[in-house]
Amino acid sequence: MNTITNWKSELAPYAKMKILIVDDEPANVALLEDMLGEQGYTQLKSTTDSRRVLELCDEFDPDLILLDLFMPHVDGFAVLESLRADQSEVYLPIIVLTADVNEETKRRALHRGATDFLNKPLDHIEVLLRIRNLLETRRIHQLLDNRRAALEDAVHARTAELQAVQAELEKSRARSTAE
Amino acid sequence: MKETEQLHGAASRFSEMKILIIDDELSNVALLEDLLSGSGYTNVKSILDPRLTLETCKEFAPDVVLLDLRMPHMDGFAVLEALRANDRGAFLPVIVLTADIDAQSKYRALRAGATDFLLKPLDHLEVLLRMGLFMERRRIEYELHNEKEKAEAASAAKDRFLAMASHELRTPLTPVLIWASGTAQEPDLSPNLQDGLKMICRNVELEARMIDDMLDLTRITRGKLGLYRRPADAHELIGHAIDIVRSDIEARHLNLRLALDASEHKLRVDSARLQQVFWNLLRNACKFTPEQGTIAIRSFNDGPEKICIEISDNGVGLEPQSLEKIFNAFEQVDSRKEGLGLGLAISKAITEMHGGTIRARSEGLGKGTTFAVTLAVENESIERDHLTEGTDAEKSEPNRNES
Repeated sequence: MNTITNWKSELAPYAKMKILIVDDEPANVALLEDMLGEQGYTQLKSTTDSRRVLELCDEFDPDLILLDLFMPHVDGFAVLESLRADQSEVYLPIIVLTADVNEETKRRALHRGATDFLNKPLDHIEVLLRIRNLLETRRIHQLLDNRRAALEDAVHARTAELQAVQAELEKSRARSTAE
Repeated sequence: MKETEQLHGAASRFSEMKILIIDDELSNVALLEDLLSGSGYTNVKSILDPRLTLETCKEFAPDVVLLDLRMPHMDGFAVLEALRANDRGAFLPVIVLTADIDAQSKYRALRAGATDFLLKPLDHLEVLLRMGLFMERRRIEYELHNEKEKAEAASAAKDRFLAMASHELRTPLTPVLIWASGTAQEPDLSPNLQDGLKMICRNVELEARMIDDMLDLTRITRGKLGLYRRPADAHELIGHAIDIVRSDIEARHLNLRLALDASEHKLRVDSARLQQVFWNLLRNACKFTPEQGTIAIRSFNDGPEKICIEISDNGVGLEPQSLEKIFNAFEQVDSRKEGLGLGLAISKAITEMHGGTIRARSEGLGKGTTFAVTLAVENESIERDHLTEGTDAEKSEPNRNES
Protein backbone atom coordinates (compact mmCIF):
# COMPACT_ATOMS: atom_id res chain seq x y z
CA MET A 1 0.00 0.00 0.00
CA ASN A 2 1.45 3.21 -1.08
CA THR A 3 1.36 5.55 1.84
CA ILE A 4 3.25 8.29 0.17
CA THR A 5 0.85 9.15 -2.60
CA ASN A 6 -0.51 12.07 -0.59
CA TRP A 7 2.82 13.71 -0.83
CA LYS A 8 2.06 15.06 -4.29
CA SER A 9 0.70 18.33 -3.01
CA GLU A 10 3.84 18.99 -0.99
CA LEU A 11 5.98 18.39 -4.02
CA ALA A 12 3.86 20.57 -6.27
CA PRO A 13 6.19 23.59 -6.31
CA TYR A 14 8.99 21.38 -7.58
CA ALA A 15 7.03 19.08 -9.84
CA LYS A 16 7.74 21.19 -12.90
CA MET A 17 11.47 21.19 -12.40
CA LYS A 18 13.59 19.19 -14.79
CA ILE A 19 15.36 16.01 -13.79
CA LEU A 20 17.90 14.15 -15.90
CA ILE A 21 18.44 10.44 -15.19
CA VAL A 22 21.68 8.82 -16.30
CA ASP A 23 21.85 5.03 -15.93
CA ASP A 24 22.83 2.46 -18.52
CA GLU A 25 20.34 -0.13 -17.28
CA PRO A 26 16.92 0.55 -18.82
CA ALA A 27 15.26 -1.24 -15.92
CA ASN A 28 16.74 1.20 -13.43
CA VAL A 29 15.75 4.14 -15.54
CA ALA A 30 12.20 2.85 -15.77
CA LEU A 31 12.06 2.35 -12.03
CA LEU A 32 13.14 5.91 -11.34
CA GLU A 33 10.87 7.36 -13.99
CA ASP A 34 7.92 5.51 -12.47
CA MET A 35 8.75 6.58 -8.96
CA LEU A 36 9.15 10.20 -9.90
CA GLY A 37 6.29 10.29 -12.35
CA GLU A 38 3.95 8.88 -9.76
CA GLN A 39 4.79 11.74 -7.44
CA GLY A 40 3.98 14.34 -10.04
CA TYR A 41 7.32 15.05 -11.64
CA THR A 42 6.52 15.63 -15.27
CA GLN A 43 9.77 16.92 -16.71
CA LEU A 44 11.94 13.84 -16.81
CA LYS A 45 14.57 12.93 -19.33
CA SER A 46 16.80 9.91 -19.23
CA THR A 47 19.65 8.39 -21.10
CA THR A 48 21.38 5.04 -21.03
CA ASP A 49 24.13 6.40 -23.22
CA SER A 50 26.55 8.31 -21.05
CA ARG A 51 28.26 9.87 -24.05
CA ARG A 52 25.15 11.92 -24.61
CA VAL A 53 25.08 13.42 -21.16
CA LEU A 54 26.79 16.73 -21.83
CA GLU A 55 24.81 17.30 -24.99
CA LEU A 56 21.58 16.54 -23.14
CA CYS A 57 22.53 18.90 -20.38
CA ASP A 58 22.93 21.70 -22.85
CA GLU A 59 19.60 21.02 -24.54
CA PHE A 60 17.48 20.06 -21.59
CA ASP A 61 19.06 22.32 -18.98
CA PRO A 62 18.11 20.08 -16.03
CA ASP A 63 17.58 21.37 -12.50
CA LEU A 64 18.94 18.14 -11.06
CA ILE A 65 20.83 15.08 -12.29
CA LEU A 66 20.53 11.50 -11.03
CA LEU A 67 23.67 9.62 -11.96
CA ASP A 68 24.39 5.96 -11.47
CA LEU A 69 27.95 5.63 -10.33
CA PHE A 70 28.61 2.00 -11.11
CA MET A 71 27.44 1.42 -14.60
CA PRO A 72 28.93 -1.83 -15.96
CA HIS A 73 30.10 -0.35 -19.24
CA VAL A 74 30.86 3.20 -18.35
CA ASP A 75 32.73 4.88 -15.59
CA GLY A 76 30.23 6.93 -13.57
CA PHE A 77 33.07 8.88 -12.03
CA ALA A 78 34.23 9.99 -15.44
CA VAL A 79 30.75 11.20 -16.28
CA LEU A 80 30.64 13.05 -12.98
CA GLU A 81 33.95 14.70 -13.69
CA SER A 82 32.93 15.79 -17.15
CA LEU A 83 29.72 17.27 -15.79
CA ARG A 84 31.64 19.39 -13.35
CA ALA A 85 34.42 20.20 -15.77
CA ASP A 86 32.97 23.43 -17.06
CA GLN A 87 33.18 25.02 -13.59
CA SER A 88 29.95 26.87 -14.09
CA GLU A 89 28.79 29.35 -11.48
CA VAL A 90 25.29 27.97 -11.67
CA TYR A 91 24.18 25.67 -8.88
CA LEU A 92 23.39 22.26 -10.37
CA PRO A 93 22.82 19.42 -7.89
CA ILE A 94 23.99 15.93 -8.87
CA ILE A 95 22.82 12.93 -6.86
CA VAL A 96 24.85 9.77 -7.42
CA LEU A 97 23.25 6.37 -7.01
CA THR A 98 25.45 3.68 -5.57
CA ALA A 99 25.14 0.17 -4.14
CA ASP A 100 28.55 0.47 -2.60
CA VAL A 101 28.41 1.22 1.09
CA ASN A 102 32.12 1.79 1.20
CA GLU A 103 32.88 5.16 2.68
CA GLU A 104 35.83 5.62 0.40
CA THR A 105 33.59 5.45 -2.64
CA LYS A 106 31.31 8.07 -1.24
CA ARG A 107 34.21 10.34 -0.42
CA ARG A 108 35.54 9.95 -3.93
CA ALA A 109 32.18 10.83 -5.40
CA LEU A 110 31.84 13.90 -3.24
CA HIS A 111 35.35 14.93 -4.11
CA ARG A 112 34.56 14.68 -7.81
CA GLY A 113 31.57 16.91 -7.43
CA ALA A 114 28.59 14.86 -6.33
CA THR A 115 26.16 16.88 -4.24
CA ASP A 116 24.52 13.96 -2.47
CA PHE A 117 24.07 10.21 -2.85
CA LEU A 118 21.36 7.61 -2.69
CA ASN A 119 21.96 4.03 -1.62
CA LYS A 120 20.81 1.13 -3.70
CA PRO A 121 18.48 -0.64 -3.43
CA LEU A 122 16.60 2.61 -3.63
CA ASP A 123 14.25 3.58 -0.86
CA HIS A 124 11.16 5.34 -2.18
CA ILE A 125 11.07 7.96 0.49
CA GLU A 126 14.78 8.64 0.50
CA VAL A 127 14.75 9.20 -3.23
CA LEU A 128 11.89 11.64 -3.15
CA LEU A 129 13.17 13.40 -0.10
CA ARG A 130 16.73 13.97 -1.28
CA ILE A 131 15.48 15.17 -4.64
CA ARG A 132 12.99 17.54 -3.07
CA ASN A 133 15.54 19.09 -0.77
CA LEU A 134 18.04 19.70 -3.52
CA LEU A 135 15.43 21.08 -5.89
CA GLU A 136 14.46 23.48 -3.17
CA THR A 137 18.02 24.68 -2.83
CA ARG A 138 18.34 24.99 -6.59
CA ARG A 139 15.21 27.09 -6.74
CA ILE A 140 16.51 29.50 -4.15
CA HIS A 141 19.81 29.81 -5.98
CA GLN A 142 17.87 30.71 -9.11
CA LEU A 143 15.79 33.23 -7.23
CA LEU A 144 18.93 34.86 -5.96
CA ASP A 145 20.49 34.99 -9.41
CA ASN A 146 17.31 36.47 -10.86
CA ARG A 147 17.10 39.07 -8.12
CA ARG A 148 20.66 40.12 -8.72
CA ALA A 149 20.05 40.48 -12.44
CA ALA A 150 16.87 42.45 -11.85
CA LEU A 151 18.62 44.72 -9.39
CA GLU A 152 21.30 45.50 -11.91
CA ASP A 153 18.66 46.28 -14.51
CA ALA A 154 16.86 48.57 -12.10
CA VAL A 155 20.03 50.41 -11.26
CA HIS A 156 20.77 50.95 -14.95
CA ALA A 157 17.27 52.24 -15.57
CA ARG A 158 17.40 54.63 -12.67
CA THR A 159 20.82 55.92 -13.71
CA ALA A 160 19.51 56.54 -17.23
CA GLU A 161 16.53 58.45 -15.81
CA LEU A 162 18.73 60.66 -13.72
CA GLN A 163 21.03 61.29 -16.67
CA ALA A 164 18.05 62.36 -18.77
CA VAL A 165 16.92 64.83 -16.14
CA GLN A 166 20.40 66.21 -15.84
CA ALA A 167 20.62 66.71 -19.60
CA GLU A 168 17.31 68.58 -19.57
CA LEU A 169 18.46 70.82 -16.77
CA GLU A 170 21.60 71.70 -18.65
CA LYS A 171 19.65 72.44 -21.82
CA SER A 172 17.28 74.73 -19.94
CA ARG A 173 20.11 76.57 -18.34
CA ALA A 174 21.83 77.01 -21.68
CA ARG A 175 18.62 78.39 -23.15
CA SER A 176 17.97 80.84 -20.33
CA THR A 177 21.51 82.15 -20.26
CA ALA A 178 21.21 82.75 -23.99
CA GLU A 179 18.18 84.99 -23.47
CA MET B 1 11.49 35.86 16.38
CA LYS B 2 11.46 37.79 13.12
CA GLU B 3 12.80 36.11 10.06
CA THR B 4 15.67 38.60 9.89
CA GLU B 5 16.77 37.76 13.38
CA GLN B 6 16.62 34.05 12.72
CA LEU B 7 18.58 34.30 9.52
CA HIS B 8 21.03 36.70 11.06
CA GLY B 9 22.39 33.80 13.01
CA ALA B 10 23.54 32.12 9.80
CA ALA B 11 27.24 32.78 9.44
CA SER B 12 28.95 32.56 6.11
CA ARG B 13 31.45 30.08 7.43
CA PHE B 14 29.80 26.76 8.07
CA SER B 15 31.81 26.02 11.16
CA GLU B 16 30.23 28.95 12.92
CA MET B 17 26.75 27.69 12.26
CA LYS B 18 24.73 26.71 15.24
CA ILE B 19 23.66 23.12 15.70
CA LEU B 20 21.15 21.94 18.27
CA ILE B 21 21.08 18.28 19.28
CA ILE B 22 17.96 16.96 20.98
CA ASP B 23 18.45 13.47 22.37
CA ASP B 24 17.78 12.13 25.84
CA GLU B 25 20.50 9.51 25.67
CA LEU B 26 23.83 10.83 26.82
CA SER B 27 25.86 8.37 24.80
CA ASN B 28 24.19 9.42 21.57
CA VAL B 29 24.77 13.05 22.35
CA ALA B 30 28.43 12.45 23.12
CA LEU B 31 28.87 10.60 19.85
CA LEU B 32 27.37 13.37 17.82
CA GLU B 33 29.19 16.12 19.66
CA ASP B 34 32.49 14.37 19.04
CA LEU B 35 31.72 13.89 15.39
CA LEU B 36 30.70 17.48 14.87
CA SER B 37 33.43 19.15 16.83
CA GLY B 38 35.95 16.87 15.16
CA SER B 39 34.84 18.32 11.85
CA GLY B 40 35.16 21.90 12.93
CA TYR B 41 31.63 22.72 14.05
CA THR B 42 32.26 24.67 17.20
CA ASN B 43 28.84 26.02 17.96
CA VAL B 44 27.02 22.91 19.11
CA LYS B 45 24.43 22.76 21.87
CA SER B 46 22.69 19.68 23.19
CA ILE B 47 19.64 19.22 25.32
CA LEU B 48 18.87 15.99 27.06
CA ASP B 49 15.46 17.14 28.21
CA PRO B 50 13.27 17.60 25.14
CA ARG B 51 10.87 19.75 27.09
CA LEU B 52 13.44 22.53 26.90
CA THR B 53 13.27 22.52 23.11
CA LEU B 54 11.24 25.65 22.38
CA GLU B 55 12.89 27.74 25.00
CA THR B 56 16.34 26.72 23.80
CA CYS B 57 15.41 27.44 20.21
CA LYS B 58 14.34 30.93 21.16
CA GLU B 59 17.58 31.68 22.96
CA PHE B 60 20.09 29.77 20.88
CA ALA B 61 18.46 30.30 17.46
CA PRO B 62 19.97 27.21 15.85
CA ASP B 63 20.64 26.96 12.14
CA VAL B 64 19.90 23.24 12.14
CA VAL B 65 18.37 20.77 14.60
CA LEU B 66 19.29 17.11 15.00
CA LEU B 67 16.43 15.33 16.67
CA ASP B 68 16.34 11.75 17.84
CA LEU B 69 12.95 10.41 16.99
CA ARG B 70 12.83 7.35 19.22
CA MET B 71 13.68 8.70 22.59
CA PRO B 72 12.76 6.16 25.29
CA HIS B 73 11.21 8.73 27.57
CA MET B 74 9.70 11.24 25.22
CA ASP B 75 7.94 11.15 21.91
CA GLY B 76 10.19 12.55 19.21
CA PHE B 77 7.21 13.17 16.96
CA ALA B 78 5.71 15.47 19.56
CA VAL B 79 8.90 17.46 19.74
CA LEU B 80 9.02 17.66 15.97
CA GLU B 81 5.48 18.91 15.79
CA ALA B 82 6.15 21.48 18.48
CA LEU B 83 9.19 22.73 16.57
CA ARG B 84 7.16 23.16 13.41
CA ALA B 85 4.30 24.87 15.16
CA ASN B 86 6.85 27.39 16.30
CA ASP B 87 8.18 28.09 12.83
CA ARG B 88 8.18 31.76 12.04
CA GLY B 89 8.55 31.48 8.32
CA ALA B 90 12.30 31.07 8.10
CA PHE B 91 13.38 27.61 7.11
CA LEU B 92 14.78 25.67 10.07
CA PRO B 93 16.12 22.31 8.93
CA VAL B 94 15.25 19.51 11.31
CA ILE B 95 17.07 16.26 10.65
CA VAL B 96 15.62 13.31 12.50
CA LEU B 97 17.82 10.45 13.65
CA THR B 98 16.20 7.08 13.60
CA ALA B 99 16.97 3.39 13.51
CA ASP B 100 15.87 1.62 10.34
CA ILE B 101 12.14 1.83 10.45
CA ASP B 102 9.37 1.09 8.05
CA ALA B 103 8.16 3.42 5.39
CA GLN B 104 5.08 4.34 7.40
CA SER B 105 7.08 5.83 10.22
CA LYS B 106 9.47 7.59 7.88
CA TYR B 107 6.53 9.08 6.10
CA ARG B 108 5.02 10.08 9.37
CA ALA B 109 8.19 11.90 10.27
CA LEU B 110 8.13 13.77 7.01
CA ARG B 111 4.50 14.72 7.37
CA ALA B 112 5.28 15.98 10.84
CA GLY B 113 7.83 18.28 9.32
CA ALA B 114 11.18 16.52 9.27
CA THR B 115 13.43 17.96 6.63
CA ASP B 116 15.51 14.84 6.27
CA PHE B 117 16.49 11.77 8.25
CA LEU B 118 19.64 9.95 9.16
CA LEU B 119 19.64 6.25 9.86
CA LYS B 120 21.21 4.77 12.93
CA PRO B 121 23.84 3.52 13.35
CA LEU B 122 25.03 6.86 12.07
CA ASP B 123 27.28 7.02 9.06
CA HIS B 124 29.66 9.83 9.87
CA LEU B 125 30.10 10.90 6.32
CA GLU B 126 26.39 11.10 5.77
CA VAL B 127 25.86 13.16 8.89
CA LEU B 128 28.41 15.73 7.81
CA LEU B 129 27.23 15.69 4.24
CA ARG B 130 23.62 16.36 5.14
CA MET B 131 24.61 19.07 7.60
CA GLY B 132 26.67 20.73 4.92
CA LEU B 133 23.81 20.69 2.45
CA PHE B 134 21.42 22.32 4.83
CA MET B 135 23.93 24.89 5.90
CA GLU B 136 24.37 25.83 2.27
CA ARG B 137 20.62 26.15 1.91
CA ARG B 138 20.47 28.41 4.94
CA ARG B 139 23.31 30.56 3.66
CA ILE B 140 21.58 31.09 0.35
CA GLU B 141 18.32 32.06 1.98
CA TYR B 142 20.18 34.53 4.10
CA GLU B 143 21.80 36.06 1.03
CA LEU B 144 18.46 36.27 -0.75
CA HIS B 145 16.97 38.07 2.17
CA ASN B 146 19.92 40.40 2.32
CA GLU B 147 19.67 41.31 -1.35
CA LYS B 148 16.06 42.27 -0.97
CA GLU B 149 16.78 44.47 2.01
CA LYS B 150 19.73 46.12 0.32
CA ALA B 151 17.71 46.91 -2.78
CA GLU B 152 14.87 48.44 -0.82
CA ALA B 153 17.19 50.46 1.34
CA ALA B 154 19.06 51.81 -1.67
CA SER B 155 15.87 52.82 -3.38
CA ALA B 156 14.53 54.56 -0.30
CA ALA B 157 17.82 56.34 0.22
CA LYS B 158 17.78 57.71 -3.31
CA ASP B 159 14.25 58.96 -2.96
CA ARG B 160 15.04 60.64 0.31
CA PHE B 161 18.11 62.28 -1.13
CA LEU B 162 16.19 63.60 -4.11
CA ALA B 163 13.57 65.09 -1.82
CA MET B 164 16.13 66.71 0.42
CA ALA B 165 18.23 68.04 -2.45
CA SER B 166 15.20 69.55 -4.15
CA HIS B 167 14.16 71.26 -0.97
CA GLU B 168 17.61 72.71 -0.38
CA LEU B 169 17.84 73.95 -3.95
CA ARG B 170 14.45 75.60 -3.74
CA THR B 171 14.84 77.56 -0.54
CA PRO B 172 17.40 80.20 -1.60
CA LEU B 173 15.32 81.19 -4.62
CA THR B 174 12.53 82.80 -2.66
CA PRO B 175 14.45 85.76 -1.22
CA VAL B 176 16.15 86.32 -4.59
CA LEU B 177 12.81 86.51 -6.34
CA ILE B 178 11.27 88.75 -3.73
CA TRP B 179 14.08 91.23 -3.91
CA ALA B 180 14.43 91.20 -7.68
CA SER B 181 10.72 91.61 -8.40
CA GLY B 182 10.40 94.30 -5.76
CA THR B 183 13.37 96.23 -7.04
CA ALA B 184 12.24 95.89 -10.66
CA GLN B 185 9.22 97.99 -9.79
CA GLU B 186 11.14 100.96 -8.39
CA PRO B 187 10.36 104.11 -10.31
CA ASP B 188 13.71 105.52 -11.39
CA LEU B 189 15.60 102.55 -12.73
CA SER B 190 17.50 102.69 -15.98
CA PRO B 191 15.78 100.62 -18.69
CA ASN B 192 18.84 98.39 -18.82
CA LEU B 193 18.65 97.62 -15.15
CA GLN B 194 14.93 97.08 -15.33
CA ASP B 195 15.30 94.61 -18.18
CA GLY B 196 18.05 92.87 -16.30
CA LEU B 197 15.98 92.52 -13.15
CA LYS B 198 13.02 91.25 -15.15
CA MET B 199 15.28 88.70 -16.76
CA ILE B 200 16.45 87.60 -13.32
CA CYS B 201 12.84 87.21 -12.17
CA ARG B 202 11.92 85.22 -15.25
CA ASN B 203 14.78 82.79 -14.87
CA VAL B 204 14.49 82.39 -11.13
CA GLU B 205 10.78 81.70 -11.53
CA LEU B 206 11.55 79.13 -14.17
CA GLU B 207 14.09 77.44 -11.95
CA ALA B 208 11.74 77.56 -8.97
CA ARG B 209 9.03 75.90 -11.05
CA MET B 210 11.36 73.13 -12.17
CA ILE B 211 12.45 72.38 -8.64
CA ASP B 212 8.85 72.53 -7.42
CA ASP B 213 7.97 69.95 -10.05
CA MET B 214 10.82 67.74 -8.91
CA LEU B 215 9.74 68.15 -5.29
CA ASP B 216 6.18 67.23 -6.20
CA LEU B 217 7.40 64.15 -8.00
CA THR B 218 9.42 63.00 -5.01
CA ARG B 219 6.42 63.54 -2.77
CA ILE B 220 4.27 61.50 -5.11
CA THR B 221 6.86 58.71 -5.29
CA ARG B 222 7.10 58.53 -1.53
CA GLY B 223 3.35 58.72 -1.11
CA LYS B 224 3.71 62.00 0.74
CA LEU B 225 1.58 64.24 -1.43
CA GLY B 226 -1.22 65.27 0.87
CA LEU B 227 -4.56 66.36 -0.45
CA TYR B 228 -6.80 68.73 1.45
CA ARG B 229 -10.21 68.25 -0.09
CA ARG B 230 -12.88 70.89 0.31
CA PRO B 231 -15.79 72.10 -1.72
CA ALA B 232 -14.60 73.90 -4.83
CA ASP B 233 -15.93 75.13 -8.11
CA ALA B 234 -14.36 73.70 -11.25
CA HIS B 235 -15.19 76.77 -13.31
CA GLU B 236 -13.64 79.04 -10.70
CA LEU B 237 -10.45 77.01 -10.71
CA ILE B 238 -10.32 77.16 -14.49
CA GLY B 239 -10.76 80.91 -14.26
CA HIS B 240 -7.84 81.24 -11.86
CA ALA B 241 -5.64 79.13 -14.13
CA ILE B 242 -6.53 81.34 -17.08
CA ASP B 243 -5.57 84.42 -15.08
CA ILE B 244 -2.09 83.03 -14.54
CA VAL B 245 -1.46 82.36 -18.22
CA ARG B 246 -3.31 85.40 -19.51
CA SER B 247 -0.13 87.33 -20.19
CA ASP B 248 1.25 84.42 -22.21
CA ILE B 249 -1.96 84.20 -24.22
CA GLU B 250 -1.88 87.89 -25.00
CA ALA B 251 1.81 87.85 -25.83
CA ARG B 252 1.28 85.11 -28.40
CA HIS B 253 -1.97 86.61 -29.68
CA LEU B 254 -3.87 83.43 -29.04
CA ASN B 255 -7.64 83.19 -29.19
CA LEU B 256 -9.25 81.79 -26.10
CA ARG B 257 -12.67 80.21 -26.49
CA LEU B 258 -14.65 79.26 -23.43
CA ALA B 259 -17.63 76.93 -23.40
CA LEU B 260 -18.12 76.03 -19.76
CA ASP B 261 -21.42 74.26 -20.33
CA ALA B 262 -21.46 71.88 -17.39
CA SER B 263 -24.43 72.56 -15.16
CA GLU B 264 -22.98 70.56 -12.32
CA HIS B 265 -19.54 71.94 -11.57
CA LYS B 266 -19.12 71.67 -7.86
CA LEU B 267 -16.28 69.43 -6.70
CA ARG B 268 -14.71 68.25 -3.50
CA VAL B 269 -11.04 68.58 -4.27
CA ASP B 270 -7.77 70.11 -3.24
CA SER B 271 -8.22 73.48 -4.99
CA ALA B 272 -4.57 74.44 -5.17
CA ARG B 273 -3.58 71.08 -6.63
CA LEU B 274 -6.39 70.91 -9.16
CA GLN B 275 -5.70 74.46 -10.23
CA GLN B 276 -2.13 73.31 -10.73
CA VAL B 277 -3.42 70.64 -13.11
CA PHE B 278 -5.46 73.11 -15.17
CA TRP B 279 -2.63 75.59 -15.21
CA ASN B 280 -0.26 72.86 -16.39
CA LEU B 281 -2.54 71.93 -19.27
CA LEU B 282 -3.14 75.55 -20.23
CA ARG B 283 0.54 76.31 -20.12
CA ASN B 284 1.24 73.40 -22.44
CA ALA B 285 -1.54 74.50 -24.76
CA CYS B 286 0.00 77.98 -24.97
CA LYS B 287 3.47 76.62 -25.51
CA PHE B 288 2.58 74.25 -28.29
CA THR B 289 0.21 76.45 -30.22
CA PRO B 290 1.67 78.81 -32.82
CA GLU B 291 0.98 82.51 -32.67
CA GLN B 292 -2.61 83.51 -33.38
CA GLY B 293 -3.74 79.97 -32.77
CA THR B 294 -6.76 78.96 -30.71
CA ILE B 295 -7.19 77.43 -27.31
CA ALA B 296 -10.59 76.13 -26.37
CA ILE B 297 -11.75 75.21 -22.90
CA ARG B 298 -14.92 73.23 -22.62
CA SER B 299 -16.73 71.67 -19.69
CA PHE B 300 -19.67 69.32 -19.75
CA ASN B 301 -21.33 66.72 -17.57
CA ASP B 302 -20.63 63.19 -18.66
CA GLY B 303 -23.65 61.85 -16.84
CA PRO B 304 -25.03 63.48 -13.68
CA GLU B 305 -22.14 62.42 -11.49
CA LYS B 306 -19.16 63.39 -13.57
CA ILE B 307 -17.72 66.51 -15.04
CA CYS B 308 -15.33 66.56 -17.96
CA ILE B 309 -13.03 69.50 -18.63
CA GLU B 310 -11.37 69.62 -22.02
CA ILE B 311 -8.51 71.89 -22.96
CA SER B 312 -7.82 71.87 -26.68
CA ASP B 313 -5.36 73.61 -28.88
CA ASN B 314 -4.78 73.64 -32.63
CA GLY B 315 -1.02 73.38 -32.28
CA VAL B 316 1.62 70.76 -32.88
CA GLY B 317 -0.48 67.74 -31.95
CA LEU B 318 0.75 64.31 -30.90
CA GLU B 319 1.47 61.01 -32.60
CA PRO B 320 -0.65 58.02 -31.50
CA GLN B 321 2.24 56.30 -29.76
CA SER B 322 2.92 59.40 -27.66
CA LEU B 323 -0.61 59.75 -26.31
CA GLU B 324 0.11 57.63 -23.28
CA LYS B 325 3.85 58.11 -23.01
CA ILE B 326 3.60 61.82 -22.38
CA PHE B 327 2.27 61.14 -18.90
CA ASN B 328 5.45 59.33 -17.96
CA ALA B 329 7.80 61.31 -15.79
CA PHE B 330 10.98 61.18 -17.79
CA GLU B 331 9.82 60.62 -21.34
CA GLN B 332 11.07 63.19 -23.82
CA VAL B 333 8.42 63.59 -26.46
CA ASP B 334 9.27 67.09 -27.58
CA SER B 335 12.74 68.41 -27.04
CA ARG B 336 11.62 71.99 -27.51
CA LYS B 337 9.78 72.13 -24.28
CA GLU B 338 11.06 74.02 -21.29
CA GLY B 339 11.50 72.58 -17.90
CA LEU B 340 11.88 69.00 -16.79
CA GLY B 341 8.87 67.45 -18.49
CA LEU B 342 7.28 66.45 -15.22
CA GLY B 343 4.15 68.58 -15.45
CA LEU B 344 1.94 65.97 -17.07
CA ALA B 345 3.17 63.18 -14.81
CA ILE B 346 2.34 65.31 -11.79
CA SER B 347 -1.03 66.31 -13.24
CA LYS B 348 -1.88 62.67 -13.82
CA ALA B 349 -0.90 61.73 -10.29
CA ILE B 350 -2.97 64.55 -8.78
CA THR B 351 -5.99 63.73 -10.96
CA GLU B 352 -5.84 60.05 -10.14
CA MET B 353 -5.42 60.72 -6.44
CA HIS B 354 -8.76 62.50 -6.69
CA GLY B 355 -10.25 59.42 -8.31
CA GLY B 356 -10.39 61.03 -11.72
CA THR B 357 -8.85 60.37 -15.10
CA ILE B 358 -6.83 62.39 -17.57
CA ARG B 359 -6.47 61.53 -21.24
CA ALA B 360 -4.86 63.00 -24.32
CA ARG B 361 -6.42 62.98 -27.79
CA SER B 362 -4.95 64.06 -31.06
CA GLU B 363 -5.62 63.53 -34.74
CA GLY B 364 -1.89 63.55 -35.36
CA LEU B 365 1.06 65.87 -35.80
CA GLY B 366 0.02 69.39 -36.69
CA LYS B 367 -3.59 68.69 -35.83
CA GLY B 368 -3.76 69.96 -32.28
CA THR B 369 -4.28 68.18 -28.99
CA THR B 370 -7.08 67.87 -26.48
CA PHE B 371 -6.56 66.98 -22.86
CA ALA B 372 -9.64 65.73 -21.02
CA VAL B 373 -9.87 65.66 -17.26
CA THR B 374 -12.79 63.76 -15.75
CA LEU B 375 -13.74 64.13 -12.10
CA ALA B 376 -16.61 63.21 -9.83
CA VAL B 377 -19.11 65.92 -9.14
CA GLU B 378 -19.85 66.72 -5.53
CA ASN B 379 -23.49 66.41 -4.69
CA GLU B 380 -24.56 69.74 -3.18
CA SER B 381 -26.86 68.20 -0.64
CA ILE B 382 -24.00 66.54 1.15
CA GLU B 383 -21.61 69.44 0.96
CA ARG B 384 -19.26 69.50 3.86
CA ASP B 385 -15.68 70.31 4.78
CA HIS B 386 -13.86 67.07 4.41
CA LEU B 387 -10.32 65.97 5.05
CA THR B 388 -9.16 63.22 2.80
CA GLU B 389 -8.25 59.95 4.51
CA GLY B 390 -4.64 59.07 4.79
CA THR B 391 -1.66 61.32 4.36
CA ASP B 392 -1.10 64.72 5.92
CA ALA B 393 -4.69 65.31 6.81
CA GLU B 394 -3.81 67.83 9.49
CA LYS B 395 -1.93 70.16 7.19
CA SER B 396 -3.59 73.45 6.50
CA GLU B 397 -3.63 75.11 3.07
CA PRO B 398 -0.92 73.15 1.29
CA ASN B 399 1.71 75.23 -0.35
CA ARG B 400 4.47 74.07 -2.57
CA ASN B 401 7.13 74.80 -0.01
CA GLU B 402 6.06 71.96 2.23
CA SER B 403 8.64 69.23 2.49
